[in-house]
Amino acid sequence: MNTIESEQQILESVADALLALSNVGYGDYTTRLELQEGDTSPLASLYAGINDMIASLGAEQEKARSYQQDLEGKLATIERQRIAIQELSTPIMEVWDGVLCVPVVGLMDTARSSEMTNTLLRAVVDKGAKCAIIDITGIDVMDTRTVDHFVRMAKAVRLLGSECVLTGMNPHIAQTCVHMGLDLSNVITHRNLRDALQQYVVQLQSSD
Amino acid sequence: MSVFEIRAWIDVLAARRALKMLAGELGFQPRETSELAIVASELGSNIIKYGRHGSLTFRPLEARDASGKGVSVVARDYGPQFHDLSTALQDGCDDRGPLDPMLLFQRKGIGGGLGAVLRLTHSFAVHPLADGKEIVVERYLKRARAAPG
Repeated sequence: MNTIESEQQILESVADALLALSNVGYGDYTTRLELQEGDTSPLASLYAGINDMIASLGAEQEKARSYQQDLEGKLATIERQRIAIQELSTPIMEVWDGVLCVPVVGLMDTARSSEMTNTLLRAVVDKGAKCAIIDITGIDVMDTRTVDHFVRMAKAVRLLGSECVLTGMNPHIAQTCVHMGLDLSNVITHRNLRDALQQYVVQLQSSD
Repeated sequence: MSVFEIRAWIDVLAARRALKMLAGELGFQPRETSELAIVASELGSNIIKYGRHGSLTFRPLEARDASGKGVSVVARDYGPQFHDLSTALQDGCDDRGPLDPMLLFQRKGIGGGLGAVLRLTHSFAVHPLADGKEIVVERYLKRARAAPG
């Protein structure tokens, strides 16, 4: 009778332990096995061991989750910055000796057009450029003031002793230029970047 | 309605992308959505340049008349009031008068932002507030504008 009772108890205890472990398996780290005060039986020390294990597993899991959140936050920041770099930067390439090429994509607002002027004028001087080709195929809209600023930029490039070529202007921007009555006499335009490159590279090759 | 806190350039970029998307969903043509993105960009960079910090709020507007649906942009900042709004709206000026070319160079602007906002929207209002100001602009789907660009 006595042995049957204790066997029953042991079975129940093992069932409790298994239940707690299966909770851990499902990601619940809050379950703890109940311990009797002053109980020194082997079952009690097993319970204590399982409790410790669950606690440290839970702590590790928490750490991993916070690392992951950290990482996701950083990745999001990198993505935002990548887009920012793409939208703001104005790469100036020297595609041929003395020929600068500025492909502009994204949004052209007043801040960017002013930033671009500074960068371009400096590059024209630094590289001793004979020609600067600005390709605006990637720009669909410019405010009238920005268009005006572009034309001024072209004139400034001309003052530095270099030719300024605008390529890839769309009909809408062309209409804006005409509507504003802008003086485009100092600005050379080409239908596309390819035409402009061909002309200037050939021209510079034959003058060498 | 979406609100974007503006503290740095990167916030302006996120905001203008969101406005472009919202405008597209409302039925604006791709070119018009770019124009609205320019509006958000100019208002946002003014918040950083003059108002130090603030927010951009975009709200779709229900159709009330033949102008159809629209979108409103509210630029709230905690900076000083306009000294003279009509001067600030002129190209090449800030709110006190024509900008010195050297100043323009340092500030990385051309003094044309508010003018652009005015040209690219249908209504423009400024509300002075106790601790700053609010610029409210609206653009409608089917209303024509005076000049291209």
